[in-house]
Amino acid sequence: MEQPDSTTLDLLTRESPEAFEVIYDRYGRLAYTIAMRVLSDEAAAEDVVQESFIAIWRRFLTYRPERGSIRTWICSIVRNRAIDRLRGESGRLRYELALDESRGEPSLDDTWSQVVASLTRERVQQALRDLPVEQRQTVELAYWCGMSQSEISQTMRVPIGTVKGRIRLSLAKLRESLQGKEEEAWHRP
Amino acid sequence: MAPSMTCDAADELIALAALGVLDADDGAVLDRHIAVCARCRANALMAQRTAAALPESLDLLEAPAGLRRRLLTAVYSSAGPVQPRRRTLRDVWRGIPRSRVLTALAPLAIGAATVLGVWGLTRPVSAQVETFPVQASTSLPTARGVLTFYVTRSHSVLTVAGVPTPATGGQLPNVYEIWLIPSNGGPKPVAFLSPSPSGGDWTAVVSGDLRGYRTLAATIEPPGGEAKPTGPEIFSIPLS
Repeated sequence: MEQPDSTTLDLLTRESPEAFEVIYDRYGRLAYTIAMRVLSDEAAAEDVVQESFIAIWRRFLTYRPERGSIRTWICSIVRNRAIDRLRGESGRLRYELALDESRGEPSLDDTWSQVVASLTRERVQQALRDLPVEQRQTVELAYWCGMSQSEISQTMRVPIGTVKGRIRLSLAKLRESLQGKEEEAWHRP
Repeated sequence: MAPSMTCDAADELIALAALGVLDADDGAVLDRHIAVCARCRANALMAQRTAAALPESLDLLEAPAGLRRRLLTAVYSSAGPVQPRRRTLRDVWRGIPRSRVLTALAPLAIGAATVLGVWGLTRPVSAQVETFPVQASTSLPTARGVLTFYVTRSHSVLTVAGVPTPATGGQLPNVYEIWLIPSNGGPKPVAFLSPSPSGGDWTAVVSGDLRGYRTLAATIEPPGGEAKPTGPEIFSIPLS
C-alpha cells in the first residue's frame, strides 16, 4: 500500500486536521477491518478505531518512520487496542520487536522491499492457506486473538514446545512463501 | 559484550516476538542478543516485516460513515491553527544561497518576503473565516452557538450549547442531523451533532463550501438519521 507523502506526515506533526483526514481516509477501512477481525462486534470495533485514531492524532509525534511504515504503526495500534478490549486488559504491557528499519541488512532489504511493494491480498491469503492447518491456527490464535503461548497450548491441547515450534515454522514458511511468489512473478513471461 | 543466548534460541524468540506472544522477560534477553548479533537483527527485521504483512490478508470492510464524522468532528474542534515547523540550524544553512547572483538578490527577496509577511499578518481575518450565529427555534429555545466557516479550507465547525441528549428511539438514541438548504432545491444531509468529550457543547464538522446555501438547520431524527428531514427543527443558521 502506498505510503502517504512526506508533506502529509509533516503536516500531521504540526497538528493539521486536513492531514489527519488524509490518513483516516487511507487507513480507516483497514483499521476497522482489523478491529472487526479481532472483535467480531461492530460497535466494539467502531469504538476501538475511534480510540485508536484519536490516540494517533494526539500522539503522532511518537511515530518513528525508521521503525516502519505508518501503515504498520496504525495496524499495530489498532490490533493491540482491539486485543486489549477482547481480553479486558487495558494498558497491558507487551513486548514488541521495535527494530530500526534503516539498520537492516542491505541485501535483505532490497529483496523484501520488492516483496512488500508487490504484496496483494490474494498472495498473503494464499501464503496462509499454504501453511499446514495446525500452524495456521497457531498463527491466528497468537496474532488475531492475542493468546499467550500457554493459552494456545491449552486451547490446542499440545505442549508449549510444540506451540513454539509451530510459530517458528509458520513464520519461516510465510516468509519463504511470500518471497518465493515474488521470484515467480519476476520469472513469469 | 558477548551475546547472551545462542542464535538458535534467539530464532525461536524472534518468531514468538513477531506474533506478539513473547513475554517481557524473554523480550529483554532477546533485545540484548540482537543488539550485538547482526545475523539475528536481520532475522528479527524480516520476522517483523513478515508479521506486518498479515493484515494484508483481510478482505476490507466498509467503516461506518458515522465513525468518520465523529472522528473529524473531534479532531477539527480540538485543532488550533497549524503550527509552523520549527526551523533547525540545518534548515537555515540549507537556505543560504550558494551563488553570488542569488546572494545579491537575497536582500531583495527578504524585503519582499517581509512586506508579504506583514501584509499576511495584518490583513483582516474575516477574509478567511466567517461566523454565523445559531438562531434557536421554539422547540428548543435554549440552543445557542456559532458556525465558523473556514473559507480557504472549505469546511465549517458548528459548536452548539443548550442542547439536551436526544430521547431514545427504540434501543438507540435519536440523533441531531444537520442539513444544508440551498437557494434552490431540498435540504441536503451533511453531518450529525456529537457531544463534546468534555461535556456541555455539541459539535459537527461540515465539509465543503457554504456559499450557494441559504440556511443550515438541525432536526431531531431517528437513530442513523434520515435522507430528508422528518423531525422538528431545533435551530437554524441563516448563511446570507
